[in-house]
Amino acid sequence: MHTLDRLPDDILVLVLSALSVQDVLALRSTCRYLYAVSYSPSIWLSLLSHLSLLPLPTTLPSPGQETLERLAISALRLSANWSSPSPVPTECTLIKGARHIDKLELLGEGRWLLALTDGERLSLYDLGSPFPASASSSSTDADAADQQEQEQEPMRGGLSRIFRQPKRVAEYTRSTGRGWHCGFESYLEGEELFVLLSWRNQTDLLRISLSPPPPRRQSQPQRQQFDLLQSFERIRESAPTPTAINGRLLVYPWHSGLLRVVDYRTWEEGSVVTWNPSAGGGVAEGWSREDPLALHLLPQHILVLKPTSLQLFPLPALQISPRLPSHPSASGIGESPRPGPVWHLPFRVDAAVFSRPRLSAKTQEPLSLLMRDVDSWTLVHYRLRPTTTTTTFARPSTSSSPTDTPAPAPAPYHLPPTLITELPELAFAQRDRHNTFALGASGSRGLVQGLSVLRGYTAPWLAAAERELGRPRRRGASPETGTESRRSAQPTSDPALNEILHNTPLRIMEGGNGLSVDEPSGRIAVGEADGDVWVFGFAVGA
Amino acid sequence: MSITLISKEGAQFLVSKPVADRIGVVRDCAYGADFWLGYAVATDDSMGITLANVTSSILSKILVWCEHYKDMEPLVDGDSNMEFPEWDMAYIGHDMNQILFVLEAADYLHIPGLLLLACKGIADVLDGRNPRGICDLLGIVMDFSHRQEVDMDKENGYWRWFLHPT
Repeated sequence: MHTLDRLPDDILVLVLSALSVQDVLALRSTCRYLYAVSYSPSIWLSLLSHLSLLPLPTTLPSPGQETLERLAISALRLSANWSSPSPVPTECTLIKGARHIDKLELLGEGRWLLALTDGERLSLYDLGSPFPASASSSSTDADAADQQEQEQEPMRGGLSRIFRQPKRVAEYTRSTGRGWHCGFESYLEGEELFVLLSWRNQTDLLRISLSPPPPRRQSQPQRQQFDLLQSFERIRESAPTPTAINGRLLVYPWHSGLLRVVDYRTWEEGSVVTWNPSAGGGVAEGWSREDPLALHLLPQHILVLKPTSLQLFPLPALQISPRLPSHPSASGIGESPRPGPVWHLPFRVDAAVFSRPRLSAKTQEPLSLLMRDVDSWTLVHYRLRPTTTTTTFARPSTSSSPTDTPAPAPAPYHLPPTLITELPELAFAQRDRHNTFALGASGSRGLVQGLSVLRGYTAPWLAAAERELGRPRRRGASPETGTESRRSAQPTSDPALNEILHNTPLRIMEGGNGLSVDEPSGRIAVGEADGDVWVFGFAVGA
Repeated sequence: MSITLISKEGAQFLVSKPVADRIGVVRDCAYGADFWLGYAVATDDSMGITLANVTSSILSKILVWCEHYKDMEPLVDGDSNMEFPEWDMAYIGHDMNQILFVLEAADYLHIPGLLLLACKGIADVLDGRNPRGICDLLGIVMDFSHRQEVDMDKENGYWRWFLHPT
């Protein structure tokens, strides 16, 4: 008899690479030879490449087979879980001790949580790696990473797998009293995290290193510190004011429609004149002038979303003390940047969130924009196509030639953007300011929080990819004895907002403020009105 | 110009050059020597190329594929998200035994496109089966010890739960 297990292993690797993840797992438990072959890393590498339509983490913790396998399985699990009618969280973290939440943000593929609470305290939590290097069986799981935690937490394996203990890594408290309307923007580059923290009266620029903690010898835990790099004068009195930060620059709105750009490594400054509609025309009722709703800082450009327009400007040349244009409309001064494209929105927006495309050397990810249309009360998802697939993300060489005006960099994104979806189901979120959004890094998954509901959003391209993965490949074959009917129950509906907290203790929420989602790990962070922070994971937990 | 291929049983197949070009081994054999010797070895019809590992039935099946792809470029490389044409799927069929023979022959003869197609065919046959079903289908003897089998069931159940929570 000619069977599969007689094949030489190099062909078998080819065969297994063409299978689906579920079938490789099934094949693994047939005989010893196939079991051994199925652990080959090249198989899992190619299986992962088949899943490339799903949002996967860009950086792997360690490129071993275990990691690849776990990654593939958790990506599949997440995609099946997230858009199912009742998602089951596979891990849960509760952080107590605050009275109210100002902002939450998951960083570094879901590993870190940055929380601003009570208007005065910024805390950084280590949630544990969502993709642990050790994998399948419980014995290897226990002894590798969480050994110290296991000693401290004598819980049963199953429970500690689901309920995680957060570790507070660092904390920064403002000494000069409580500030309202505070917020922050963060930028993670490698191991270095920069936070631009805006209080009511001042703005602090903080830095912390996220290097893995050294092996603990003493029992007392080592606490890291936020370094205060600089404090500024207050940015704006009324807030929340959008700010933006990257590895070199920080941007915040200034007076009369100007954006101030500061290079915080050299303290050079510049400003961007944004476009404002002329008085009366185009200005929505209730807005005296158009304040930016959201900023997105690109390597050489800045995207500004105002209530009725989306604007793309090249960053100005920076100098130590810039001569500011006396009138914002006056152009022709060497300092004022060339006008970028302005796209007038066909509706008015009052809340919006940009995705944070990951910068990789090879390709530029599209940028997503989730907005709330005030007039028709719909949720609108737009996507900006990158102009080129290969873009060098070089730092703007502004200081090299201060006399010369550098050649304008090509616009990184096409304007106008493409309309992806328009969801008219925002009725559950009443016209109330407790209505927050979150969008993952590539814009494939998002969250919308209403007054008492939290719904997950899946972008159409991801939903299509999931449908493709869940579709049975065999056509016209009659169901046989060995076939399982597991693929029948697949979500086939159009991408929509589905309830995400069905199976959690957090059923009814008063409108909290913080909301964050991380795509590859499937972690979401939700802030409750009473100050509790919940982090749920929907992929494979450790 | 045509080339004679001789199967394991000694049966002769007369194929034209574009058809034979699809078979990597034959291409190298017949024209690769051109570069070194200044003349091709197998240009003469009377000389055949013996393919000692391929039976007549499988060789004739493979030649059908080569005939079909003598003018087109087959899908050689690519991820399995890519769909094969209908003709390919009908050609490879659902007969596991035959697919395995084609797979081995395609590997021996260096036909990457057919190799990929055979992998796809196997994937389609195995799609959605549980381990017991695969063993029944392929006649694989489970050679795990009892202990290993228990572990395997546990692990498999673990993953199955993770992949399909319901």
